[in-house]
Amino acid sequence: MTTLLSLEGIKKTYWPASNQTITALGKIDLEVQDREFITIVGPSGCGKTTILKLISGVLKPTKGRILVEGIPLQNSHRQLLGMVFQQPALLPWRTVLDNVLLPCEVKGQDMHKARALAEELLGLVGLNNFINRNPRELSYGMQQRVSICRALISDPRILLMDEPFAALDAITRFEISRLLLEIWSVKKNTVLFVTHNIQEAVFLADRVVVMTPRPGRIASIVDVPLPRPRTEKHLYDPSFSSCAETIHQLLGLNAL
Amino acid sequence: MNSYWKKFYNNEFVTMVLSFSVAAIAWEMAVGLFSIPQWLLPPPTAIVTEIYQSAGYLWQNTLVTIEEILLGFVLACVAGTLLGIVIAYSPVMGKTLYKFLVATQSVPKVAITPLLVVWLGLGMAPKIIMVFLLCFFPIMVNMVSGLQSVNRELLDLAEVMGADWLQSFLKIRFPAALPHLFNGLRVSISLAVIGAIISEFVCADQGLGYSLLVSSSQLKGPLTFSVVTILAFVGIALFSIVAWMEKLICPWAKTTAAEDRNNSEKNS
Ligand SMILES: Nc1ncnc2c1ncn2[C@@H]1O[C@H](COP(=O)(O)OP(=O)(O)OP(=O)(O)O)[C@@H](O)[C@H]1O
Ligand SMILES: [Mg+2]
Repeated sequence: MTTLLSLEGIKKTYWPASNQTITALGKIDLEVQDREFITIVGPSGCGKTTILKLISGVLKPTKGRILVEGIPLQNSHRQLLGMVFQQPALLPWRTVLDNVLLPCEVKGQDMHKARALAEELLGLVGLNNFINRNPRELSYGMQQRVSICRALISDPRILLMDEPFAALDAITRFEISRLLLEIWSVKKNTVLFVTHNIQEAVFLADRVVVMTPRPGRIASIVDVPLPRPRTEKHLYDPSFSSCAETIHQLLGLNAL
Repeated sequence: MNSYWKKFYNNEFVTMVLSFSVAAIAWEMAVGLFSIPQWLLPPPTAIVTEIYQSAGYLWQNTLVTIEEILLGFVLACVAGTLLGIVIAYSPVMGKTLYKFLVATQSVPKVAITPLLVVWLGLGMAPKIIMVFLLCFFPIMVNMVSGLQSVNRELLDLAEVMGADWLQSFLKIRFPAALPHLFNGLRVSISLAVIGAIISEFVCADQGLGYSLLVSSSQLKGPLTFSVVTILAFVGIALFSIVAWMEKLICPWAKTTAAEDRNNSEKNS
């Protein structure tokens, strides 16, 4: 196991007004291994989104540094990144296929190859019949699947996902989680996945990062000893429940 | 039968034609009944006859007015869009130029028409400039607000993909702002007609505004009403062209409005 991504003493302070500061992240130290699936849980406003934005380079840390394979984060690292937002964030003037192809267009990749890959990915998430549709004609869950394909198209080493399934119903949510794990087992990306849902966090993860309320710090990192591939059976496994309980307590205690 | 009638009734075009026909018939009968003189209020039949008889004269003046409208409008589109982009992207311009332009809006533009004539003479120029002045502001404001109200996540997406300034503008921000821009265009095209007519009132020797002024001062009722009718059609036609272009260029924009209407119809 090699370390792909490390956050060293990351602090983030927002300056919403000249006389006001919000310390979003206290001090975060985290090492993410190559091909690891990490989930991040924490109370609302604890800085989960901020962490992802720091890694994606949209924000700069106030203190500390982020290393990718030992090299400080720089613009060229964007080639390694894929991001799925809480909202599908699709462009309504593009077809499903063209939405998925957007990152390749921007990066100036070979569109012929990209098109084949996009069609393959859309097939994988069960959307082969919707390739040329407009995003508006798709249900919310389908749109979210398209946005996952868009993040996967450039075959990112690091996949950042910010509560991507938050707005989905329980059934769709579980189905897409399974799908994500399937894709991940083939592509072997490194995933950082933010969620509010403890069950989801345990089901998906190798390790669950539990955060404290603002200013966000890492309360604890919980290892999930369940084997892969994960199935619905694991939801009723004693070690699943004990992991979930530990996280629950960590969050509950911090809420006091 | 019932549903067929409903469909017929719901068709906007059909209802419009029906209501206009009813109004025209009532008008025609009222004029005959109270024997109102033509110079005061001509009946619809007299207006139609007049349009037919003076077709050449009306057509020439219509072309002049349309030319003024289109030139001023296109100029305003180009300037409004470009300036809107500059203001939306530059914080300095947003603070200075934008505030200044908003402040100038408190001057009633129609009031400076005589000045435009003094500065620019009797030709088409003052009319085009008046149309431009009326159209420019709604276009510019909507361009700015469209570019500024682009979904935060879409902008983050552009950044994570590593899009440069131009890519993020062309692929995300500008298309996302297009529906806003068309709101501005629809307001402007209506103002454009008003601008052209008003400036022709002030000083002109051709155009529909000029014919309107001359014919009414000579108490030529049917001609006056013909001009008004043509003006109405010009206004509707220009507005329809803009609406049609909007449908063609950003078909996704209207879907929400149509969906909303459908939903509210279902709920009520
Ligand atoms: N642009 C900003 N300006 C000022 N403060 C901000 C900004 N973005 C976030 N914050 C603050 O930083 C803190 C962390 O925000 P963040 O969005 O990272 O939380 P989160 O854990 O993702 O919350 P949620 O679970 O509700 O999405 C919040 O308290 C928020 O008020
Ligand atoms: Mg968040």
